[in-house]
Amino acid sequence: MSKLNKGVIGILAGLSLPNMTLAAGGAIEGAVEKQPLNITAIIMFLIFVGATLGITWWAARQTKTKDDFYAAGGGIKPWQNGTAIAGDFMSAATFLGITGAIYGLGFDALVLAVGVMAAWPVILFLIAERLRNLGSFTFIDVVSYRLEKKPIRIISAIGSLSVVIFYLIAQMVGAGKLIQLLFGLDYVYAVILVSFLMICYVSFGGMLATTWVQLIKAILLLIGGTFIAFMVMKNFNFSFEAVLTSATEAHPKGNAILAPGLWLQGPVAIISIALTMMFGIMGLPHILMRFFTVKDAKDARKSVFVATTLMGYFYILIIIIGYGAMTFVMNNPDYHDAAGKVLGGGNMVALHLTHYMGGNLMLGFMSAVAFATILAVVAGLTLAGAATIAHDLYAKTYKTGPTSSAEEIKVSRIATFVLGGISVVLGIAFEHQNVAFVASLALAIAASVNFPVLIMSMYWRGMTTKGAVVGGAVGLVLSIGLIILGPGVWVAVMGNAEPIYPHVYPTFYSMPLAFIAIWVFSLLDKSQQAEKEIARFDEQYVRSETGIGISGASKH
Amino acid sequence: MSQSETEKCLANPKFKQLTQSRGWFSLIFSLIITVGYSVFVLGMSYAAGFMSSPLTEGSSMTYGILIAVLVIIIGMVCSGIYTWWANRHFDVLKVELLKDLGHE
Repeated sequence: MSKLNKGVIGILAGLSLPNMTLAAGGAIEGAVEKQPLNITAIIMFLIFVGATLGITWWAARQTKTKDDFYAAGGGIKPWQNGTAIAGDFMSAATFLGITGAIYGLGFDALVLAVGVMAAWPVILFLIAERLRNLGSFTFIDVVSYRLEKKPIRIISAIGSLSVVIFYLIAQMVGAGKLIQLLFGLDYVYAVILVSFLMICYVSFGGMLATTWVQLIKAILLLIGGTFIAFMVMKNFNFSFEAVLTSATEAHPKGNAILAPGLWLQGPVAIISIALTMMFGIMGLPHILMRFFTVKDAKDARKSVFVATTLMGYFYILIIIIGYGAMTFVMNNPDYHDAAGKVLGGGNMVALHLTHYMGGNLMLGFMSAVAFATILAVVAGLTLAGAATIAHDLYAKTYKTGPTSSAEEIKVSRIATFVLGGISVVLGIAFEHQNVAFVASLALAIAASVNFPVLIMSMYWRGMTTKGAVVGGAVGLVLSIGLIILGPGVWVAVMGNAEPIYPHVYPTFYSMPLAFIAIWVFSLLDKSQQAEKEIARFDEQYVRSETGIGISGASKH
Repeated sequence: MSQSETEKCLANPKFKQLTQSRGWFSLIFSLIITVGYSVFVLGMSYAAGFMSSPLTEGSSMTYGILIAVLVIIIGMVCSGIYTWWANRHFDVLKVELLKDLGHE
């Protein structure tokens, strides 16, 4: 396999998620050379940090109750929320990772973009409005609506926190390496800096600050991406076909980059990643949480429409940038070392193209945006984790009596500090590990635990607590177990020659089996409790359709 | 929400009309997306030859890339149509229903 492919496969294994995985690739594997200080990038980054800390200060003054803290008081406008949701997906992983993946492996990498675009409309049609009508702060509110609170909150919180922690590890390691590359900052300092800023945003500014940070970054990234894609198209007189033709001439694999087969082998591998992408997204706690920041179901619907449109546009840019980079970066000695490897690894391709098209100034801008994007994503994740700990576990499970707003916010802040600390420790611990599998784990758990329980709770009258808990546990054990037995851990981490489970993604088995377990164990559950839960479905159904009794409706 | 209120709402013909029309709408649109995505995924899995073939002889544009871009565009268009329709029809119906039930 060519050097190039090796690097890119590293990214791919990790990348998987639109969102997070500020993946890896060349950047994560092995040592990264520290780059000389990039002054433009640093100045632009400092401007961004200054502006966002200003916003945090402003947001902190508006954040008084737990509704404000978790959900910005339900006062976010649909276009703002939609842009922030899109921002969660237009991350460094998408911009750098998917571009790098298309650059190395061509067509197969498109599944990463198409999967996201298949998920979002379905979230709009089936989930968004019901979720907003039923819940208040986290998706677990919805799942536990008519079920026995404690067991269902605990199993969902385990699913939710696993996703958050695994994502945070992948993010922190990726962030450390990327910052080292872009800014010439030491790995440890980079990880501490990211964690420190994230704690500031979340613990002081809550959801309001987290949304604005994400929103601003999303707009900057859209501007940058549009510029690069426009320049690529301009070079080919705005013919996408000419971009592709030129790419096949530049790429060593020739026409194979326009067809499936360079990365994913066999139906199970392809379908597993396809399921993980589409359904994992529907189970991401920090994304689902954003639906509670708008005032009602109508605004939730509008947010998803805005988000879907922006993401679709962005993925089309990414496809142009990925194929365009083949022409301008692949055979350009400026962007390769003496051995012919891409400088900085596969993740840097998009930035090399940025430099080619826009010079040092544009490179500085996009580097700063890439750093900003990491901050915005880890802030959203940490807020979701803190909400799960303070709201679902502390206030609704551990405490028996009612909890005051001030107390819940206090617990959330403590949880934020703890999560920030954990992410620094794990970030440093995993510096030299291959963390690609961690990222695939996060989405696989979301698809195999959170998603089945959530969708069944909304649509299937017959689901009982027992069915939901057993189903969630089956999804959790299978997704983690198969990943440990798969190539990501069994071979790459533990050093065995052959994986016991041959695929990176467990979802082909873990997700359907979780559904079957929910179904079977709900049917077998003949307890009185089960009867009560089934009887309460009508009330939940009416509320999910009409919004009667909806919480936190616009106070601003 | 009380038991009687739930029953009153379930019995209201407007509630049935709302849930049925929205249910069908959501189902059909979800199917369109799922079918589009499945064509892409199953095409990759079982029909690599077709996915690699150019639209016209000698072109670099393959069916695979066309389908990928189409799924992205269909996703955007369907979201737009659903949102537009729901804002104009389902929300109006819902407001009428809430009036009937005494919620403003």
